[in-house]
Amino acid sequence: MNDPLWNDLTAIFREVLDDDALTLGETTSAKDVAGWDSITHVLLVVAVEKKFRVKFTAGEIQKLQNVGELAALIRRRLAKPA
Amino acid sequence: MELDGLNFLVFLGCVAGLQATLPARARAALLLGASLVFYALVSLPWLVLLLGLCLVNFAAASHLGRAGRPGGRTLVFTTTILLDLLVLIGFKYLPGIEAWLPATPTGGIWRIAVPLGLSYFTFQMVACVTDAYRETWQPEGGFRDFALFGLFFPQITSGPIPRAGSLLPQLRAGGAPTAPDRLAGLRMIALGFFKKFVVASRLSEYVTDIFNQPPAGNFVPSLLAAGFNVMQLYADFSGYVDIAIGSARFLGIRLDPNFDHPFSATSVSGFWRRWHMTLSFWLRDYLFMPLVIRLRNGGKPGIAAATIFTFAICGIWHGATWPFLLFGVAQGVAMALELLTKSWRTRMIRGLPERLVDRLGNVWVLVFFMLSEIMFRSTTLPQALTLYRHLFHLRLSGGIGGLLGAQPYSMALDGLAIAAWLGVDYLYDRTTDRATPWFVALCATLILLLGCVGSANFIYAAF
Repeated sequence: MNDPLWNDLTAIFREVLDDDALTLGETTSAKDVAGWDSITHVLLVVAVEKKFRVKFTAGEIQKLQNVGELAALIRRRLAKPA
Repeated sequence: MELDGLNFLVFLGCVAGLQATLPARARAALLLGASLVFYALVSLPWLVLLLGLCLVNFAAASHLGRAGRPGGRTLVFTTTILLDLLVLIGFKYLPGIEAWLPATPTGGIWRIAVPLGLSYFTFQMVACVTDAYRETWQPEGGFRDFALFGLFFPQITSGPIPRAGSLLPQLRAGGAPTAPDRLAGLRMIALGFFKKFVVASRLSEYVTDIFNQPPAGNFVPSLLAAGFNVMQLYADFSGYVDIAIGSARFLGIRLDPNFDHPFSATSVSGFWRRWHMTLSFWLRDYLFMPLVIRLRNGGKPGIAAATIFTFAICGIWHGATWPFLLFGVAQGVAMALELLTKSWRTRMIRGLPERLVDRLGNVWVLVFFMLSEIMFRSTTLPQALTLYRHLFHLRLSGGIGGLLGAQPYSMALDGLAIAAWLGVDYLYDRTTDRATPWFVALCATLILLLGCVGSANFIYAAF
């Protein structure tokens, strides 16, 4: 997928999850990735917020179901900061 | 009525018989009626209390789940959660102030009992209202279904803690058990009774003796008691939950699993994803995540602090004593250390065979849990410290009696019970529907030959 946002997300996931071969899809969720537990979830959110210079609310973070929803949330926030 | 009694089996059989004869539309009402009778036999006033709480939580969840974002959401959510927690805390921790209360009119002291299953019930209610507030679950159906969800008799006393999204639709349908459901349920119930009466009850005698008075001059009895303590707790709790899940399955209702081979975990955090899973996941979703999200800018130290706090609460939930608090804090600290040292450990083990790393992880989990469970089992801090002192005072004296700390005959029966557990566990995974009667007969025979019926209470009923 040649999308800068998607490429950045993949790089973040690979670094946090320590898996250079990890590939992400719209529906990829914690169930599909070894090591993606609640702690890793928070580390991913922190890394995403830092990279894209955005801030999510607690409710938004807890509602995220998969990578596609995270990407959509980043796009919304970049288009219209909270 | 306790799940591990013959009268419960008769009760379950009657409910299943009626369920088979009633039309589908009447089955949910039957399950609710059975749950009300089951709890009324425990205590009628407590049943009224739980029904009242069900009504309040149902009204709150319905309000929060209504389309159009009605006003006062945060107020309704906060008030309901506070009420749930106040009732739980009141019943659970007020007994600690019994000694401070004035004498009763007859000159005695007040006794405040905790309604059976109140903790699990409260967790269910808090989850429903929170999910409705977060808009991740939409309440469906009426109060009858919600009350059945709150009071469903196989799980109310000991969990597993169900989520409305998976259990409520099943209960609304009233259960339609197939023959494989009935047989799978029977196998689980038989396994649960076996674990409870052959393993947990038998080992409890030795553990209780040694914890009450660890023999001086020899560390082996304390070590054995610490090991047996873990086995007893696992057999007791997982056995009771097997009976609960098996009973529900017998009625065509699938409850979430609560244990998944916990000692195959290679880390303490992995262990808690396999042990008392429904409580762990509840703590994760409704305490840890809201907390850690707010502390996330603190990086790994912030996450470590949230982990320790969550498990300290988990410890205190078991009881307001120092040993329970320290047990919880120890779990949190172990997980925090695993998090903070992860990169360093990854570098250290690079190049080592994966199987070796996994086995080392298994040993770490087992030793850590065995040592921390001493705290869990002890009623006072001095009792735990005495056992630790005997455990680490590596002396050997007193011949075979000193080594075992009990009569060799009793110890041989304990060993036999553990060996039988391994065998029954092996067969359970391989028993087909056709072979189910044989498996049930084997468990019954072993209970008759090796069981200690009525000698130990269900440990988790106290929580």
